[in-house]
Amino acid sequence: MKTSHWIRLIVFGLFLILVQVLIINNLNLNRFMFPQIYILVLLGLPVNIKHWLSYLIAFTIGFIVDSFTYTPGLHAFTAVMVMFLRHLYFNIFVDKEWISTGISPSFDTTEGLWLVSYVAIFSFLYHLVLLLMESFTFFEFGNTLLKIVYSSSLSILLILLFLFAFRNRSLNET
Amino acid sequence: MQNLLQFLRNNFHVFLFLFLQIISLTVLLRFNNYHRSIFFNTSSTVNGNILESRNQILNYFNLRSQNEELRKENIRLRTSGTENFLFFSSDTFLFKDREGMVQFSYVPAKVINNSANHPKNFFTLNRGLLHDIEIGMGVMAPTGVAGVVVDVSEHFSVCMSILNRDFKLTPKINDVVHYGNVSWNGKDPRFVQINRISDYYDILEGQEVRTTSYAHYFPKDISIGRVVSSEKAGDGKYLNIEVELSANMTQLSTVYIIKNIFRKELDEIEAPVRNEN
Repeated sequence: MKTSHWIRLIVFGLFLILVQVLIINNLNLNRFMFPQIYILVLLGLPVNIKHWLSYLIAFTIGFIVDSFTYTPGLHAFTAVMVMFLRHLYFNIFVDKEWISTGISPSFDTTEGLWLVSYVAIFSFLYHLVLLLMESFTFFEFGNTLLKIVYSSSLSILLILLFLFAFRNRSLNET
Repeated sequence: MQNLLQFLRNNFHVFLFLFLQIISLTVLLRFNNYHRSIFFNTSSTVNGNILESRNQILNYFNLRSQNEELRKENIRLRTSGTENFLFFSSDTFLFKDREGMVQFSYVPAKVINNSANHPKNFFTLNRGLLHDIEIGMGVMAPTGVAGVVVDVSEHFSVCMSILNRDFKLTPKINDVVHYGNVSWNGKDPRFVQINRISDYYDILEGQEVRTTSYAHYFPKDISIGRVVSSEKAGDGKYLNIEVELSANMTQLSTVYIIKNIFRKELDEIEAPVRNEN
């Protein structure tokens, strides 16, 4: 992969993390909606990235977000877990040849429908792991479930909007 | 040996994955609310400055509501001054005033990071060791109780929000002290609960819930909220009460950190008795 590609990923990643911790974390929309859009950084990593590198990246990003929300380890755990599930998903459901192209999933590089389902699956999984880990008991399962459904729906929407907004620019640059 | 090394190399990513997960789980489970110091102190030097500069920009957006809140507080304070009273017996009130000593002082602070969506919520203030802030000081919004300081770094401090499952406070409902705890069930950030208090007194909708002087980090009679409903539980032996918070916890911005000047003395004299139990 080209260096320019990496630089763009890093800049975009930092931007997303800042948006997450400085704006979205403080929105407090309502008691059920707490979208995590920074996972787009993880989902946008090249599909053929080395496993160990992806885990390290996920762990670092998770820890940065943790340091802003005072939940040491929570986001780090979830991010690494989602990275693992992503590799699993690619192994099972995706063509090996396509993976070797090493593209970053976005509206320019993949089919729209595939991208939507990809984002939807992993946002849901992310919020599932995150909120279950956070509540740590199944005592208020209904409450947690509502949080998972609402938060992941909203973040799917926001992530797709983000991807859509940055679609043309990435087309011009490459 | 060769094979083992080869095996390790081939499965390096699996071990790394497990290793990172174990680290984050340990950190997640080990850090309880009172021992976040290491995590907070290392992160606050960088994060605090980022949060502070964000706050300087976003501050402008809620000036109107902040103003309104502070104006209401001003009016409340103005009307409570002795100059507004018509005294029937001339001296008692004034003498009492002069005999007292100031026990609580207040440090104004800005909330630079806040959450209300987690089961355990915290907020960050832009005051720290430099401003003589200590762990265990109470924090109140202009309208009511907001939390308590749990960690301090040089320039910043982290407070446990009243919206935190671990937060406990003895309430006074309608001027009667109840031996129960104000705590949060983790659901709605507008309401807190007082569970399992004796049904000896009638609790009515709309009654004021205030602080007592038992917890040394709050002066007495600071508003916590207002009773919205009460229901019997545990075969009618107890009451569970729902309280609407006075402070708008989702939009905290100006708060006061409360210093109890006699805190040390109180702690010293109480410590031996506590240890005996």
